[in-house]
Amino acid sequence: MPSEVIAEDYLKCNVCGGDLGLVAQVYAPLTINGRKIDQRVLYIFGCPSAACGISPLSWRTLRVQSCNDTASSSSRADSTDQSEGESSSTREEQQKQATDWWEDDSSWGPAAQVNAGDDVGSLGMQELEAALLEAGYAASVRTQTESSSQQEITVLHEDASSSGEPNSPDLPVLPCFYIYSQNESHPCRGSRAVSALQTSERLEENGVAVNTTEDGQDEAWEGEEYEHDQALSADRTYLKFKKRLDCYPEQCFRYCFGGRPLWANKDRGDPGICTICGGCRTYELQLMPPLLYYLQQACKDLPSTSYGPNDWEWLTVIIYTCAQSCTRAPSNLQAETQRSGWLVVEEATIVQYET
Amino acid sequence: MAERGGERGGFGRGFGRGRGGDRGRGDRRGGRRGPRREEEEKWVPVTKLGRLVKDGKIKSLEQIYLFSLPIKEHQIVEFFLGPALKDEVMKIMPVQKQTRAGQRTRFKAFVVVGDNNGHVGLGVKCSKEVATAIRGGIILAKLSVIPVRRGYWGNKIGKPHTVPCKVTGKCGSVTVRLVPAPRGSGIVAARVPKKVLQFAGIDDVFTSSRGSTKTLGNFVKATFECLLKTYGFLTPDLWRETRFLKSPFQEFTDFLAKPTKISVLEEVEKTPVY
Repeated sequence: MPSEVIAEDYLKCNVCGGDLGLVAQVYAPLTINGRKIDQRVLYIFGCPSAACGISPLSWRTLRVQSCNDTASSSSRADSTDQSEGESSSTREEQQKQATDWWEDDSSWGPAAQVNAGDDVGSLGMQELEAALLEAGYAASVRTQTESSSQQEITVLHEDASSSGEPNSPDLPVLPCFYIYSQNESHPCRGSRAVSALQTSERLEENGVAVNTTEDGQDEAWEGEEYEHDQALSADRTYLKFKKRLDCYPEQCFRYCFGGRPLWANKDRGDPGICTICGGCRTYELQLMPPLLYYLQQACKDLPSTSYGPNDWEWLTVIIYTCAQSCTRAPSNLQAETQRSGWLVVEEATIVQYET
Repeated sequence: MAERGGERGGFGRGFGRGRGGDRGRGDRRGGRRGPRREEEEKWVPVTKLGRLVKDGKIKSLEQIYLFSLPIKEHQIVEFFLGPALKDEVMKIMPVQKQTRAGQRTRFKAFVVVGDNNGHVGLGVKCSKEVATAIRGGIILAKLSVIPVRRGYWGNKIGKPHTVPCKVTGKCGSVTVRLVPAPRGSGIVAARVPKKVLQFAGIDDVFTSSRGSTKTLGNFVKATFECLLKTYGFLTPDLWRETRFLKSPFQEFTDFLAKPTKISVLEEVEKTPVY
């Protein structure tokens, strides 16, 4: 997909006007109402410049989707469909030049891709999360990715020179991360249920009521009421968020088209309606704090520039996309999209912070 | 880690008399090790404070208390207090709810953690299973760890051993009053608040309580309130002008972050000099 399709000002920060950096590139095919959409990618951008990445306005999500599933794009379809590994994403990387600052490749293994397609068969609410991604983070992996990012940078420069696109000389070099996806087994109950069952059974075996008195003292306690979880500085919503995170401590993304997001605090933003079809938006994916941790760790070793993810402090970034994943472009873009065959739509990004 | 510490301490008590305690302890050790995965051991910080702690930028828990930063990850407390932190289940009580299909029983666990030297935390968790309630209670208790100020009754000889002044705490209808006591008095209190005071590292204190102390939850929470207030009481030793320091969030970022973090500047040095 050529990068000219994306309008220039989509790639500029709303707050400071600087260039946005690509944070995540998610290849997310869908099957809605029997219509299979294979050419569908979500790009999540954040502003890396100083003190700007905090406000929710500096984050943007673009959905790039092919308008026609007909023969004209089938060649492209073949090329992007076949290899779900790094090769396809690197090919797309090469095409996006000045905006590639750092990437988290989300590579969907064949099994995961099939699952995502099948689970999203109907627009009904998903009961289980469809996929959960982990970052493979090891020192060896990091050195490899750093060396590969060097190669990518040289590739970028070559492409830049050949196509004549502007390319600023001091793009920060940030290592890429390889993301593995995995289904989430419903949190923690699996591992704890077994031992918990044994304990309760033991109690009943001995006929010991759980509230017997101890040490011969007569302590008759009054009955207790159910109490919601509470800590000195954490409320119930955050505690549930943390609990799901603790089950899979390395999760960076959560994906479930049409599912329910994992809220970090009580204020739910308003996703709004789709700018193209006017239909409602539904939750698709969210970014999680380990992503920040890994990015900041990786940037720690690099020479400090004024660009960087060090200012980012959110707890989660929730992305809502059009429920119908519409393809009909509005009138002003009609000509453009028919020519290039790609539709670029901005979607809702909600950022939740620590309170 | 924490679970094994708890087994050392008081699971036997938590399950009541009878040797269900022993078998419970043994089985839990076996049952837990199996399903535990490598992932659960590693800590990936979620909050900004967690990231600073993991990096080693924050030297002690006292620095966090100095700026009243909210601790939202229990791993932060484990990082600083580590093996010194012991936990004990004070009581497990069943909580029942009437449903159309009969009664639904859940278990409420009261857990206290502390290092017997100035840090104590209290956690209350309800859950369908006892082990889940205990585990959740330990985590909540670690999230609520507070510093406890100790002082002297009379001569300032040796280490502080009692509360610095009379403090009182209230929760529900229960008020608990802690009164400084001379060395050697021991903790003069009912069994349950005595546990909390022991974990706090207070050696001698007189207590007096009022209200419906039969409600265990309110009783321990009132005691905990008292301990929370020990550092909130302005005594003449603290009359010296405070020296303002930079909050860790301000110190360790190159650029100014959100305004709410910066404004936390006026603080009192937490370790009073006698």
